[in-house]
Order: sequence, then structure tokens, then C-alpha cells
Amino acid sequence: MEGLMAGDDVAVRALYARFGRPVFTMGLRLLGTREAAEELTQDVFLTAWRKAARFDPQRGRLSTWLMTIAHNLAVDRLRRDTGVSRPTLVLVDEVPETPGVDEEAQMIERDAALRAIASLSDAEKRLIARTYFRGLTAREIAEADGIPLGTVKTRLRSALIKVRKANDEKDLR
Amino acid sequence: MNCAKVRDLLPEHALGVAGGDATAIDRHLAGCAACRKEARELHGAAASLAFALAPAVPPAALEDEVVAAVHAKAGRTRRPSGVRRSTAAMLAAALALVGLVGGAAIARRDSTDARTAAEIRLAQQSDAFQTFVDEALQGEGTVASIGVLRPGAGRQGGGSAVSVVAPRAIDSVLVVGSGLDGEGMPYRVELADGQGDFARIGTVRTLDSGGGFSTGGVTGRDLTRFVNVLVRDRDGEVILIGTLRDEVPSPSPTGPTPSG
Repeated sequence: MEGLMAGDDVAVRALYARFGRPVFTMGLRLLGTREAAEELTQDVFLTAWRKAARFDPQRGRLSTWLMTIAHNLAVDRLRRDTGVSRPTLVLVDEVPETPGVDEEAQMIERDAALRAIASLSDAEKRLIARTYFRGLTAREIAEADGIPLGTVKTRLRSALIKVRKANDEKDLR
Repeated sequence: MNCAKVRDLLPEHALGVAGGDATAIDRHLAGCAACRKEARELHGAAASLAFALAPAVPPAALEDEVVAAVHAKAGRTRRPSGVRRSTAAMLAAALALVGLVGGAAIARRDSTDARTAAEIRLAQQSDAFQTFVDEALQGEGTVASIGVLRPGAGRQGGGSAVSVVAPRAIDSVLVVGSGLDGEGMPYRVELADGQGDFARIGTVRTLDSGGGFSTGGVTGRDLTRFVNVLVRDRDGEVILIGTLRDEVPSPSPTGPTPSG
């Protein structure tokens, strides 16, 4: 992190090697164009540099910190660009564009994430897709579906707890 | 915001859709270990979802572009002592501009009392700027930006703004103005990122006898992208406007000339 704070090339390249692809992936899948994904990637790493001193490994994993930065920036942009057609969400139905290039750590992360999503009910999967991947708020979903806001909130909490438990089981393996 | 309210909103916060509540939640989490523990678990779960997306391959040149972008930014702020020195120069320049703007506004008034009050106001503003920046520049990597505020169309007055984006502290901003006529109050002070996102800084409900105000403080938001400063009246019309830059602002050839 000290290397990142100083703008050290080696440190930035090391961080990019680990997270460049998932950040770009998030940009492309949520925002829909390679141009937007490239802009997002630059913004994420610049923000990471600015906030590097705030990262505390005692409070959370590096991947959580960086992907939260990426997700928040992507959702900000997604919600700002109202009226822009949103891309089709791609989780498991598409063959990776360049198979075989993934590093082992990323393959393990992806496998764990897919297992965690598989542990959710269909209703919970839809909720997660609409919030995390589409940027819709709980209130917007409640109004669209005609169900109480409290119900949406409860289901979101339940879904995240299931994901967390699935992640915990992965860590124990 | 209390613990019960924060915990009710934590799933949405973790999923990045807490909207305007995010700042209040962050502020609460900074001081509440119990809520922070739950937030950490939910955020960890949410962040892991990102890896479920079908991988895409970024262009090969993007890595070099990212490295160059970070390197360029870091190169400008790497040395704390250098940052302090350059910011001191920026501060001096900004204060001089506040003086020019305030002075021009003051010159428009006939009242000796108003002039005295405005001069006092300027001294207070100078002191506030100095204290604000001195305190904010304690951390390495801190970036201060300064902007001159000019009147909107058909308006009068002027001002300055300083923002501090600090890796080790909550980002903060201070906005001061003078020579305003009070028409259309309360005034809303906000930062904008130029892409439709706004950060509310404060509301001005009273002016001193020189038409001056100051507002701001810590924001709880990352102000990196917010470079436009706007002071609006109750109808949303722009009273003052300016741009924050991390370089010494320079006056126009004729100097700031409030209109109206």
C-alpha cells in the first residue's frame, strides 16, 4: 500500500495484475461498453491511490475494499445515466472472451462467487441482480413489485447472509 | 443516525444502493465498532459477487494507461513538504483574490459601517482559510484545491473555496462569499462533478452586514471528482460559481468584477 500511495510503478502494476481484470469486467458488464469500462478502471485505480492510506487490513480484505470502490463508482455512473439502455447481465451464460488467461486466484474467486449465488433462491438471485448489478434501490424494487419495503430489505439481508456463509464455507475448505 | 437505522440500511449500503443515506451511514460506522463489524461482513459478501461476472479481457494498453495516470497524480503530491509549500502559495493567492473580490464588492457600498463590517469579514475569512488548510495538510498525500467564485449572470458578489482531499482524513471543503445582496435566500452551497452528481455543502440563511458568509466542514464523501462550486438561491438560480483547481488561481486581466 505504501508503494501505491507513492505511485510506485511496481506497486500499481501488482495491484492491476490482481484486480485489473475484475474491475474492467465490472465496468463492461454493468455499464455496457468497453469505453466506459476503461474509464471506470482508470477511475478506480486513481481512487485507490487517493484512498490507499485509509485501507486497513484489520478491517477487511483488499479485494473487498477495491471491488467496493469499483462497484460504487459503477453504480454511481449507472444511476446517473438514466435512459441509457443497460447491458444484458452476464453471469454464467457466456463463455469468457479469452478463456485460459485467468489467473488461478481469480478462477477460485469466481468459482466461489458462483457457488454463493447458487445458494440463493430464485427470488433472492433476482433481488441481488437488480440491486448489486443494476443499481436499483430497495424502495424502487418495492414500488415496482408492489411489495412492502420491509420485505425487500429483509430479503436483501437474508441473501447477503447466505452469500457470506457460502464464502465462509469456501474459506474453511 | 442511530444503530437501529444504520443496521436497517446496511444491506443496501453493502450493495451500493443506499443513495443519499451513504454519507450518514459512513459517519456512524466511523465511530461504532458493533455496526462496523456487521457492515464488514455484509460488504465482504457483496464485494464477492463481483467475481461472478463472466470475465472480460481489458485492452493490453490499459495497464500502462492506469500506471501512467497514477504516476502522474502521485508525482504532483508525493512530497508532503512540497505540498505544503505549494499550497501555502495557493492559499496566499486565493486570499489575495478573495480580497480583490471582496474589495470590489465593498467599494460598491456607500455605508462606512458596511465597509468596516466587510473588512472584518475578510480578515475572518483569511483566518478561517489559514486555520482550515493548516489543519488539513497534516497528512501525507493530501491534495488541496482552491477556486475563485464569480457572480452568476445578473448577480453580484464573489468568494473563494478550498477543498482538501486527504487519504488519512475525511475530505473537507470551505466556501466563503461576500458582497451578496441577500435576494433569494436561503442560499444552497454545493459541489458538482460536472456529470450530474452533487454534494451538498451547506445552507446560508443569514449574511453579515457586508453580504458575507462562510460554510463547509467535513463532508464524509470522497470529493475527488467534485470540482465545481455553486451557490444557488432558493429558486436554484446560480448566485456564485467557480472551479476548484490544484494550482494557483490567477485573476482575469481586469480582475474579478462583480456585477449587478
